Amino acid sequence: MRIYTLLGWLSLIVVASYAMFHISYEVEQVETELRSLNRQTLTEQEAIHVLKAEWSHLNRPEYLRELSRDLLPNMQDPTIAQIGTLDRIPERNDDAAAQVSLDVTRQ
Amino acid sequence: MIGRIKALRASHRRNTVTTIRRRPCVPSKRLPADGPAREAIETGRNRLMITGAVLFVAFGCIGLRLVDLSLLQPAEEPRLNRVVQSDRIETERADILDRNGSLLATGLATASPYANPRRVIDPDEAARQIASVLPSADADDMARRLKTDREFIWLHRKLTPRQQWDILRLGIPGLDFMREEARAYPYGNLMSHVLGFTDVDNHGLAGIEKGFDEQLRSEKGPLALSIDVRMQDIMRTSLSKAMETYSAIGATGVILDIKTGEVLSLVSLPDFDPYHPGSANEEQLRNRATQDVYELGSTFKIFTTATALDTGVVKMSGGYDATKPIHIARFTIRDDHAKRRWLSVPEIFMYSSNIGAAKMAMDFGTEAQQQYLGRLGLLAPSPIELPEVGAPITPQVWRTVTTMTVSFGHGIAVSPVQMAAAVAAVLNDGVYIPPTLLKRDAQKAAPEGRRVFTKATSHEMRRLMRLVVEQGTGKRADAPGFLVGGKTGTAEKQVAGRYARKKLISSFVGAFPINEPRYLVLAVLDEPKGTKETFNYATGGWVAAPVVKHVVERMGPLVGMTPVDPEAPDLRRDLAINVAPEGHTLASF
Repeated sequence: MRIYTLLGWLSLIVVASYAMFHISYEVEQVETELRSLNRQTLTEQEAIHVLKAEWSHLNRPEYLRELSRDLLPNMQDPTIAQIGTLDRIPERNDDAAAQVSLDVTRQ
Repeated sequence: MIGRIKALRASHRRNTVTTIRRRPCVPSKRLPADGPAREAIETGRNRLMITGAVLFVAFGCIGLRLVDLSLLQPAEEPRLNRVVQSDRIETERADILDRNGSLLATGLATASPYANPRRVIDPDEAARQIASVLPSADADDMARRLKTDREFIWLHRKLTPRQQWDILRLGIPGLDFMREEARAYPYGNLMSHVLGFTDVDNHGLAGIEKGFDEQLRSEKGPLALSIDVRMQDIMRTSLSKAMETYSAIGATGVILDIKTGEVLSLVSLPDFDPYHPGSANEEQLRNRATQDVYELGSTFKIFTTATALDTGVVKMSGGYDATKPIHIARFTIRDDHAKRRWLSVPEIFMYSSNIGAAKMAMDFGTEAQQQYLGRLGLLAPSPIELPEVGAPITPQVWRTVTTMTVSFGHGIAVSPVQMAAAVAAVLNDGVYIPPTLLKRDAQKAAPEGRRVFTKATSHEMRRLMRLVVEQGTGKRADAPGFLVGGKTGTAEKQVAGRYARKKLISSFVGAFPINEPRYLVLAVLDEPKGTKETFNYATGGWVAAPVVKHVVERMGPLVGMTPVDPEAPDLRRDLAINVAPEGHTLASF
C-alpha cells in the first residue's frame, strides 16, 4: 500500500515538474515571439509615422495647385454662381419632359 | 523535532518506565525521580523547547510567506516584455496639428554619426572618406578632431537615410550612429511664423515651438492649433500675389473666428524656411502679425464711431460739420476724400472723414477713448500664445490733439493681431474674446469674453461696415454673395520722426457675412506702390481690399457658406441705413 502511495507521489512530482518546465519554456518562447513582434510593431509604426509626414508634405496646397495646373489644365476656380442649394433647381416640368420624349420618339 | 518533544513530554507525564523504541537518541534508562540529574534533564528539555519554538515560528513565517507569495499575491513581478502601444509612436517632442488634424510638425527618427577617436585607425583617411559622403563636412577640421584624445565626437547631426547608408558603406571602424529625432515641417514655409523652429537639440526657439516648449516636450499627445492649413494657404497666396503686384516690402494677414477668437490663419511675409532658420534674415524672421506694431490709420475709426455711438454722444442720424480742416497746435487735420460739407455719421465712416472722427472723439473725450481702447485690448500686448508679441506704442501724454489723432489711427501703433481681435469685438455683439492659436473644443460653449459695446452698437457698426463696402472706400472687397463688411485704412509710415508721404501702410479689415459676422479677415500691406490699374493709388481700398475679397471668395465655400442674394428683402431690412438724413443733405453743398 505504502509503495503505491509513494509511487503515486513520485509520479505526481514528475508530472508537475515536467509541466512546470514545459510551461516555463513555452513562456520564454512566447516572450521571444512578443519581443520580435514588438520590434516589428515599432518598425511599422515608424514607417507609418514617416508616411504620415510624407502624406502631409505631399498635401501641401502649393504642390496640389501645381499638380492641378499640370494635370487638370481645363479646371478653373469655382465661381460663386456655381454654388447653390438644391431648392434653386426648378421643379421638373412634366409636360415639357413629355414633349421632349415625344420629340425623341418622332425622330 | 516537535514530535520528539511531544513524545518526551508524554513519557515524562506518564512517568513510567519504558524504553522509547525507534528513538534510540533518547536515553533509554529510567529517569531519575529527583536530584541533579533530573535538574539537568529539565534544563535540557527547556532549552530544547525554546529552540523548537523559535524554529517553529521561523518556519511558520516562511511557510506563510510562501503561501502568500504563491497564492495570494497578484503576479506583480516585472515582466520582461510588454506589448507596445500600437496606436501611436513615442516621440521626443509632441506633434503639432492644425484644426483639421493635418500634421504641421513632427519628429522623425534620424541617425547622427559619432566617432570614438581612440578607435579610429587612420584619422586622415577616415575624415577624407566621410567628407566625400557629407558635402557640408570639412575634411581638415574633422581629421583634426579625430586625432584628439577623446572618446566621443559628433561627426554630423541628423543624417538622411541615404547619407547614413553611404557612411555605413565606408566601413570605417570606430564610427557609430546615435538615434536622434529631427523636427520636420511638412508644409514648409506656409506656417513658418506660427510654428517657429527648434535648435539641433530640439528646444523650441520661436513661435509655437517656443511658446509651448515645455508642453511639447512633456506631453505625448499632439497639440492641435486653431490654424486651418487651407485658410492659411489662401491668405498666403493672396497676400504674396498682392505683395508682388504692388511691390510691397511686406504683408501680413489674419483670419479670425469672431465667435471663438480662434486664429484660422496668421501670415507674415516675407517668411522663412523652417529647416534653415539660420540662413533667414531679420526681415524674414520677424512676425509682422504679432511682433510689429503699425499706425493702422482709418481702421481705428471703427472704434471711434463705435465709442461715439456707445456713449451716446451722437446718433446714427447725427453728424458733424466737415467743411474746414481742423487746426490744432501745429497740426492740421484734413480729409483725404474731402466733401467740404456737413457729414452724417454713416458718411463720416463711409468716406473715412478724419475731421468727422476727430470731432466725434472730442465729444466723448480722452477718458472714454482710453477706456474703450483699453477694453478692446489695444493698450496692452496681445494675449496670443506666441513669444513674439510686440507691445503697442501708445501716446505718452494724452493731450487733446492726441485724442484727435488717435481717433483716426495716428499716434498709436498696434499689432495686426490686436487690431483683428478688437474689430472682432465690435462685431461680436460688442464682446471682446482674446485671440488664441489653440483649437477650442467645439462641444464646449464659446469663451466668456468681456463686454465692451452694447449689442445695439455692434449691430449699427455692422451696418456701417457693410455701407463702406457697398458704397464707400471698400468697394473692391465686395465678394458677391458673402456680404462682406469692412473698413479701409491707409497710414503714412514714420521715417525718422516724420510721416513719409510715399511710404504707406495700407490695410483692410473685413468680416462676413456682415449680418451675422462669423469670420474676420485682415490684410495689411507694407509700403505698397500703386500701379496703372490702381491709378497709382496704394491706399487700403485699392490694394488691401482686393486681397480680402479674394480670401473671402475662396474661403466662403470652404466654411460651408452659401452665397446669398444681397438684394433679398430681409437682408436689405437688416442692413438698411439712412446715409443722409433729411434736412442736412443740402446743408452745405
